[in-house]
Amino acid sequence: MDDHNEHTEHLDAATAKRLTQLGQRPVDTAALENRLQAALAPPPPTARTDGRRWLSPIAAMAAAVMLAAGLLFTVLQNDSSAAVLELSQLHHDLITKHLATPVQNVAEANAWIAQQEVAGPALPGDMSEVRVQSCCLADVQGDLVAVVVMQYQRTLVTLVVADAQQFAHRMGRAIERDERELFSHQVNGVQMVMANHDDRWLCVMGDLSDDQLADLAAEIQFHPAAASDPPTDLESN
Amino acid sequence: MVHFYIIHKILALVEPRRPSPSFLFMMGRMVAKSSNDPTQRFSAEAWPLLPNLLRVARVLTRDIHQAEDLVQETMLRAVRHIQSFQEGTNLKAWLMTILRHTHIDLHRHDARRPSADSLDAIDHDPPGAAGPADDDAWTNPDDLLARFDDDDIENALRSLPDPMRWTLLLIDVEQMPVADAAEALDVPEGTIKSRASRARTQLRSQLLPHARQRGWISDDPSP
Repeated sequence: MDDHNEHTEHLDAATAKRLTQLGQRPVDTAALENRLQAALAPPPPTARTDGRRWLSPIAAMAAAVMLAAGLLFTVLQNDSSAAVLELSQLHHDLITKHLATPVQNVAEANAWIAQQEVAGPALPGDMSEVRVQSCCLADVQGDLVAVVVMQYQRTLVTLVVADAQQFAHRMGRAIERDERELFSHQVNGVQMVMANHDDRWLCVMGDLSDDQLADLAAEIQFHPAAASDPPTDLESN
Repeated sequence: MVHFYIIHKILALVEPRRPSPSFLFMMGRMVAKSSNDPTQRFSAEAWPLLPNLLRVARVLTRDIHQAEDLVQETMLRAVRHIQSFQEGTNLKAWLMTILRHTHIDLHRHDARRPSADSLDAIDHDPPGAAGPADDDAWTNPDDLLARFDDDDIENALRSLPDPMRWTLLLIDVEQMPVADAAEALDVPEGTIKSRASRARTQLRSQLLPHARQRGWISDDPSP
């Protein structure tokens, strides 16, 4: 009987040992990790099924960066400078960390924005000169802004759009384009050009000259419907 | 920790209902892993467990893509129920529990599931169960088991009833302590021990015909 028990224990141990080897087989989690990263980010505009809407993790990232910048500039008591610093930091993070939600075009970006819990400003409808890559919403100085990262003249450029009534920072060197007044500013090595278009405030940032950015900013057009009713802009795209 | 809280508060201004699970998850991964905050601890510790979850899921589903689907859904459910993740909770056991329930839910209507899953069938020897006669055929079990491919072993595992399969997956494949496996499977520790022994016996009985067929052991069972 003891021999039998001993043999059974030996069998059990051998079986357990063989099963343990299954646990040592390598598994490739790269695809799973990519899928999870995508799944944990807000779904693309057409894939929303759970009835709930969440902000992109980039909004959190942007908020984190902006918080740090905001705290720093609280000392300076200069809201405009703080906003510019936040914008430059936002551009830097978006370009280097690729954390915004990938989109193919402006329509898709607007659809994503429209699906967020708090509807953000609509992006311009006419941006044929650029290749849109990603978008997100961010909080700059307490105001919600829509952000899109795009490629313009082979350079990654960040476009920030806000409602002009809520976010009308006019600062820097004045530039004229097509009888429009734009403002150029540089902070932390980031060139930015700001403008007011169709009741919207916009800012383009990137590693381009202020003239190039001004050209881009001047070309950006909002559909009339987009300025007054963002969801309509989405539908029209 | 303080930063996380402040960021959380700022996000609450933008998103008034509640913080996004994805936000909590992503932020948790970025914040120090040593935090005592359950959300942060979950986020920091859950990611390294992906290989364990995927390995178990692959055995359950046979297919790597289905396994990825299963683990993805498991992680999403875990994030959605992150508030129920308490300090002191065994994360691996908690995730394995969610994985098991998710697998059941996803295959609830799958007619191919093994039918002999009742506890009677699992925790008591059914008539004709593998026993001493089969055991006697395994004269050199280490060498014999080593001759089977991993796929053979996995197939034999899949042929077991769910509770037995899960017990071996957690105890032997994943090397989880008995207490953790008991927590994950929601059964007493004693049940885990006895079920593991029965499951190993049944696993060997699944492999034995293949060993005979391949001529690794005699076709003629012991008298």
